[in-house]
Amino acid sequence: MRSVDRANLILGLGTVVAALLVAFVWVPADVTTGVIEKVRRQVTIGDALAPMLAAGFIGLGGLLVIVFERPENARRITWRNIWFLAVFLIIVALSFAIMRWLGPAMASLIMDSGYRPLRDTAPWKYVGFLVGGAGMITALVSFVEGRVTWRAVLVGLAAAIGLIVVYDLPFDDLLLPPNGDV
Amino acid sequence: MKRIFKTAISTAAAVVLAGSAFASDWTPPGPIKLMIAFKAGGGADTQARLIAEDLEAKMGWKFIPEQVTGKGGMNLAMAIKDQPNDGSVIGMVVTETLGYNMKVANAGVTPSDFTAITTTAGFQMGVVSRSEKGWKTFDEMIAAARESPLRFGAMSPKLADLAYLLGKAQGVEFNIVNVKGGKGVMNGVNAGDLDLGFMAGIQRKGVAAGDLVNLASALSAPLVQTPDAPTFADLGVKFSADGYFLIVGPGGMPAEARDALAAAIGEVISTEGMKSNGMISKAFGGAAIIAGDDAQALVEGDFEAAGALLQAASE
Repeated sequence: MRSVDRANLILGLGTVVAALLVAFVWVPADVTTGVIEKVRRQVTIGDALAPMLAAGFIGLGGLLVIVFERPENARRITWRNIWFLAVFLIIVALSFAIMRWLGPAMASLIMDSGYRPLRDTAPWKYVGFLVGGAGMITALVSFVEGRVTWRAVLVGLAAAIGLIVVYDLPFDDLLLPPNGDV
Repeated sequence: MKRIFKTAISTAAAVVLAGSAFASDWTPPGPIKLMIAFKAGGGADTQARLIAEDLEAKMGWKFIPEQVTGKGGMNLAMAIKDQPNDGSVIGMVVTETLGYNMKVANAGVTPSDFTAITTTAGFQMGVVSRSEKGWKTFDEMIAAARESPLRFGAMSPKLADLAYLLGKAQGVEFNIVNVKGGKGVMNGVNAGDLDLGFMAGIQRKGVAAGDLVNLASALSAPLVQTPDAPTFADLGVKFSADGYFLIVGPGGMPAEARDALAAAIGEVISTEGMKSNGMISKAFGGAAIIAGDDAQALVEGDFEAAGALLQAASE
């Protein structure tokens, strides 16, 4: 078996295993009702139906990849591909961590009350979103371009500020991340 | 027990006034997240948002409303359970959430895991049909049900059980249809998809206009608007749909925060001219306030009593 075949085989098998884990480990552990419930003469859709269906479709997708998607001319997955994916995921994870924790960390240093009472107060409510969001876009652009430029920084800032203008300023009752979860 | 709560309601104004005096020092630590267990735009959601609006105007507090719907309020209960209990997170459910629904859900929580802050309004829960059906009384509807099964809309499992028991007591079998929210029942009845159903106050205008008929009161007391309609007890059902809209918080909320919130809410919903007072008066027949320890006792009693209804409906 050639390595090009193995790439899709591994991907397909991984997907099928993930689907099985969802269906037989995650859903039973996390959902109390079944697929279909009958409670005192009432037949209702249980909470497990939707995720079980989703797991079924994910598994079907994996099987299709294993059985049919094995082209002779498929390109190999290289270490370079894996490196790119790893750096991409690290940038996203670090940016979300900054988005989540920067505001609380700064507030804990400066304010006795901590961050929570300030989660709907400017400028505190923008700190994590602005730095984490702008940082994510800047880092991704810089990573793809292979260099850090002021242009990337400005694009990142413009995107984060744009989202704040669209989603925060017009609405009194909407909270930007992470403020709904702190 | 019921007498205790009725007494509590009748003395609510005094409690509220006293509460506002002793709890006025408390202020929320920042904005208050107000979880709402009802679909956006319905009567209950409107009530919750108007209370928040009134409190913002009167107390200067800031509210952040958030819809947490589903499972008869249990999704909200499970979401609020582990939130900070300093008064910065509260939710609006119905007493049924911490009573029957919590019992049925068997989710490993009891009312003691929550802080009942105050009720705001009672239900005017009627069994309602469209007047063009031609039934002027409950007995006329039952006569029709003997001819062919009627479709009976219910917006919660408890009400579905009550509909079943009503049919059983009357010797008929209803085709019980679960519908989302009282508005869903009213839409179904108006559209002819349902023959009758439970409505908790939303029917007021329709009844006043003569389009809808309150055939029975699903409460232990007669309906304010249609006092001649028989109650469930009159019809041979020993259970009722008595219940209230309830503001809750996570368990272990300090009494100071709980009482200050209860006092402030009680004051705005009882004060003429406040938006929430106007809405509650029109839709739910006026504020019904059971606060603090009395509210906690109410939901814990409902939780214990839910077993009897479940048993009866399972037979």
